[in-house]
Amino acid sequence: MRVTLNNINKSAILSLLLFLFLEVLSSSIFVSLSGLSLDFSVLFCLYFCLKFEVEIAPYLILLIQWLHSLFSSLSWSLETMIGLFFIFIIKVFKETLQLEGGRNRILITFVFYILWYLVRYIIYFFKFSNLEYLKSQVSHDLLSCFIITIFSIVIFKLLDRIWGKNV
Amino acid sequence: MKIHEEKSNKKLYLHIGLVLVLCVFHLGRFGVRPLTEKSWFYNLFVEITGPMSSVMSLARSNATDFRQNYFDLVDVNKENSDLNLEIAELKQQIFELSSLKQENSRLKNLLNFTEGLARQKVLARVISWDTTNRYEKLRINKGLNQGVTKNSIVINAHGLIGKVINVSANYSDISTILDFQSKVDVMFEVTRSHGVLEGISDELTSIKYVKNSDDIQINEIILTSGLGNIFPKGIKVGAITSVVAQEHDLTKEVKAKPFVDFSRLEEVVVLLNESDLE
Repeated sequence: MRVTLNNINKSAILSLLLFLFLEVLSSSIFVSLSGLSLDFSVLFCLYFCLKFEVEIAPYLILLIQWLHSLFSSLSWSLETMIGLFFIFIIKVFKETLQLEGGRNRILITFVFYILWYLVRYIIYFFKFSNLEYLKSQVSHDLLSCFIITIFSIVIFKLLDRIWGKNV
Repeated sequence: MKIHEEKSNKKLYLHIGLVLVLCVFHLGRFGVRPLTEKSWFYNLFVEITGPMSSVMSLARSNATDFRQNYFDLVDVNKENSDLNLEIAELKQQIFELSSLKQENSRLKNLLNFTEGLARQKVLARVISWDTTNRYEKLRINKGLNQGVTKNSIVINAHGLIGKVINVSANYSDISTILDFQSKVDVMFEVTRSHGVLEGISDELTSIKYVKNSDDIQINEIILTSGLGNIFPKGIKVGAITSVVAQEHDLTKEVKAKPFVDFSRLEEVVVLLNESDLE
């Protein structure tokens, strides 16, 4: 996706505001009602990784992860590093990824979501060696991955509108 | 075409490198779970998003009460259509009264529970939960302006919740006892032996450094020991759910379930630090 510098500021601010709204919604309503946490930060970062080929993507991921750290106990720096890793991975597989069609989008989002969590688990395991903690997270995270993948249809469309391009 | 692509790739890698350096520097300095590093900029955003969280949390709370107190009763009384209007009015009154009654009883319990703790208290409402790690971090609607400071203790009628790790003007972040990085020195009510409690899942904690020779029983209550000078002595924390003696180890593997139901937290009490009040 080619983005001109003129529309970056406006689109970036709108994206961050949308993200902030979803995070407030998730932290104050979803978690307490369902016990499920919906991690929108990964979804936004995946969108930027999948659709941007410009140098703004790392900075957007950094901003998203910093804002996410307001609502979670995760480190923004660690999550940004995972995001940067995904820029590389997605760049390598870009040609083979079929983003057209709702079903493909859902599948790709779901797979990358799982991969993101997997990388996070591996880092946590090596850092804290707390397998029990990770085991308790897996079932919750799988369910929230599934739910958020469904949300991704609407959120990706909104982001497409914000950035003025349908992919 | 190829040259342009290579140039573009180089630019992208350069920016990735810059962001990576920043992240590595931050990770090296503050670690994977930076519980204590919070800037004024962070607190500014907490102040901005806090009111939104408060409104949404209140809306959720009211919606839940409404669903429990109103819709259930409406279903029961559907048969009598003539009295629907009158009943609806009465139900509305009942709903308001029962909400007040529930709140009153919760607050009464809180006050009774904290009577024995000789510290100034501030009543606060939970406005948001951790979006990633389930009940490890909470945000409450009281901050520096109400006397809350870092390391203030947070409890409710059932027991210990955690401690304040970050505080802005009107909001505070709490690290709960379910956080696997939180460490609370605890003791067993009967045996009076000590251990260090830390979170392992969204409803269980583990107690480390319990000697193999200590006779710990299932369902025994654990209390804060007062060591470390952060948590006051004698606050109830939870009950033992499993004890496994390690054959080739000096310590036992002990697990405990907290008394506090973190999924249903609404009001909490913050015990203010004595040193900050002087």
